[in-house]
Amino acid sequence: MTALEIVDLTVEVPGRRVVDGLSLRVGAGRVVALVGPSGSGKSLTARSIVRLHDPDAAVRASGAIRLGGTDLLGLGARELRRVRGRRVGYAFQDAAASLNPAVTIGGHLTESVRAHDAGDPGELGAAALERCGLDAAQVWEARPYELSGGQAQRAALALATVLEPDLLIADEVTTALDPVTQAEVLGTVRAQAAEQGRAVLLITHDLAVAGRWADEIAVLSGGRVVEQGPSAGLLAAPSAPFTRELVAAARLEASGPSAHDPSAHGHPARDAGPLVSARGVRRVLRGRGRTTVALDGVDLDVREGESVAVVGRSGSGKSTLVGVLAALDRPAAGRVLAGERDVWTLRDRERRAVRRGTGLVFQDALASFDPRYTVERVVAEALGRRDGVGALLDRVGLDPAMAARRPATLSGGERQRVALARALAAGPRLLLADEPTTGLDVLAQERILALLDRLRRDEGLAVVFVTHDLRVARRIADRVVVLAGGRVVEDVPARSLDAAAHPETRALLAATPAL
Amino acid sequence: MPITDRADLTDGVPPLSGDGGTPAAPTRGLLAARVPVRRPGVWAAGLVLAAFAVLAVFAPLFTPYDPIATDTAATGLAPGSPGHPLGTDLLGRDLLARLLYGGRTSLLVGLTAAAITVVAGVLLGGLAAAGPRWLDELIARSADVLLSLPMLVVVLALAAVLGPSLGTVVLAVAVTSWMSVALVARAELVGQRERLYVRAAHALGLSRGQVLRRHLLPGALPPIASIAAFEVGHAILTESTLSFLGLGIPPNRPSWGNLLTEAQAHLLTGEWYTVAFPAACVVATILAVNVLASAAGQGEGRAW
Repeated sequence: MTALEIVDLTVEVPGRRVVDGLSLRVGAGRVVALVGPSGSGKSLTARSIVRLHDPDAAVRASGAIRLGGTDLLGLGARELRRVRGRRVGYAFQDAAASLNPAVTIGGHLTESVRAHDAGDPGELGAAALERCGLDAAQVWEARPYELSGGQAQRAALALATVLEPDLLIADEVTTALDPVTQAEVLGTVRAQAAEQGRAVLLITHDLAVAGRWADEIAVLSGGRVVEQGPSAGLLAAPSAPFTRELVAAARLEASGPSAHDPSAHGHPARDAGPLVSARGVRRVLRGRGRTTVALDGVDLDVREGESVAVVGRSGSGKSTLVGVLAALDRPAAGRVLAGERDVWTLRDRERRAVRRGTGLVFQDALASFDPRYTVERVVAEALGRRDGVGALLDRVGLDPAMAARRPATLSGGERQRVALARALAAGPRLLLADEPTTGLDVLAQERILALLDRLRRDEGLAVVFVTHDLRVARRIADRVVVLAGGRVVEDVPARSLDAAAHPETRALLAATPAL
Repeated sequence: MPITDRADLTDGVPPLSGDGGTPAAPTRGLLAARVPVRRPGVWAAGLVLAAFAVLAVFAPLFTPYDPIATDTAATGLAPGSPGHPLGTDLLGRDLLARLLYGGRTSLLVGLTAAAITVVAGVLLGGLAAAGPRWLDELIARSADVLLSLPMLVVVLALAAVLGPSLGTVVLAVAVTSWMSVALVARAELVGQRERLYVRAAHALGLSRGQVLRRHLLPGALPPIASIAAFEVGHAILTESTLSFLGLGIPPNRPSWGNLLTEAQAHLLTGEWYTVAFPAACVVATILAVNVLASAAGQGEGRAW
């Protein structure tokens, strides 16, 4: 039985046709993944189903979207409200941001149930939370910011499915989650689809995720479905050229000479002392009412020209470690050595020189740029002058003509390149990259990783690459360091990762979907 | 190697200037708050303020009368009377002359007092945000205490000590209104300090002063600009209040506030123009400053 049928959907935003004749069918009890790069129209398609567009954007949709016989595009605002939440549940990428921070989880559930007069909110809400693997008694009174990322995403899923809708739209729900949590959340979604005969439209840019948790995959490019079929068959033998490109990028195979092999780029600096070291570093984060030990005695050396991947679940202390290695955050105990000198006994001026010698790239590139600045000013500030900005942009594979634009007008991959250009401006020996490809689609991710490979090979740059994705870690790193609970539990060469013994490493390996 | 300023600005790299649009003019630091010059409202507001300033400064060129001289032969004339386009008051003083000369006082008090207020407020707010904890506490608590006192009591006490003069009015306005600027500036700076781009700036090895100047202050300016606009109006009105109580500008010296004070006796007798013209001047000035201030906060690349 077909739960959702989209026929010849066309969506236009002013000046551009984003979705162009898209047709898609989602059967009851089936999980269909809508896969495609950023800008291919995935989210716009999903939002068109329940018309959740930005009211100012003047989005025009035509075609037909049939949900069990009703054409949703033909419904008026009042009728559509009855469909939203009741027959179609929607879960967003950023769960914590999609929930109102001032309202408890129970309050959110009650609100949804009351809006549809569907029964006893306490009972239905608790059942929905239990289905999504949460303890209702524990989270009912909690506010969204008090939950972990995984818990917040489960709560958002419970909210989307509290009235047991026919269709669940899961819009990049696990992009920001670590692989273990991702596996738990998507496992729940899949199990519910099978048990309750619910159709699920899983939107993702990650082909491996789609392959592992979806029954069917629809590949989207340029606003059309270029290929749709059962997951296993489609991934094993992609027929459309675009799908082949996507699958190749998702396999994360290095093109050209491998950057893993230290002999491939002749930097004999291995026996020199480490560029930066952490010795017994402990860092304690004090929030309102609770104290977290983010790092609990971490030892780490990064040598010249080396590439180290730091992996771990959310909250394992990965980002805190980056702040400490960048000489930005002072450890509560232990020492951070740059060269042979303890950076926190240096004078302020010398410590700033150490920071200049370290490039830093963040996950959210856009937020790391002053919103008033153009690309040129962002890079020029790090460079200390204006000439040479064009050359730097060229080095990271950007058109120098982009200098006059604002970062907000660039794509995610371009923004991350601008961030790289800024990080490289002062000619650092070490680059610290905090999840720089999380949230990028596989094609953009592959381009960033290839760029990092090239920079390492050509300039002997040492890289510390934080990621929760073991596939990326394998692709980029010589050495993989696994963090758990603020401690280093594993420190192995990338090629012997499969033989790693620590249970945390095993759990990450098992949860990471492979192609 | 000869490097001219010009070559420096255009970067010497052809593709930069070859994309059709010229790169934005290189403004740095505080000048980053640019006024969008293409908006007609902004131009109009600027013209109104400039016109008022010219009229006030060159008042003798626009009227032959002395604003203080009385003329018993021409008392209480209506607007449009020959020789007195805006009429005269009950003492026979030409209203146009009083309005023009009054603009000198009012604009001087309004703009100086607002400027002092904003500079002092930003300075104190910045110290509170960046300085040690005790300084933060001291400034915040002083602001709270001053905010909890009735403004007029503080102003009266000051005026009583210093004696009525223009300087007293300016000082009184500054003392009673720096708090809102300081508290907003402090809150903005503290809020921005947690932003990722500020962390990124520290990671580039910039000093605290550089980060403050380049990233924190420009971000805090738009809300401060709108308070500043409000302060100009507030200062003009405070001046009239003080003058009315006999503690501000001496009553024979014209100011828009003094004109209003004198005019309130006429309001019920049908001589509307004695109120309407000075009031219109005050309103137009405040509006113009507001438009300019809010324009300074717009056109900014906001990422969220």
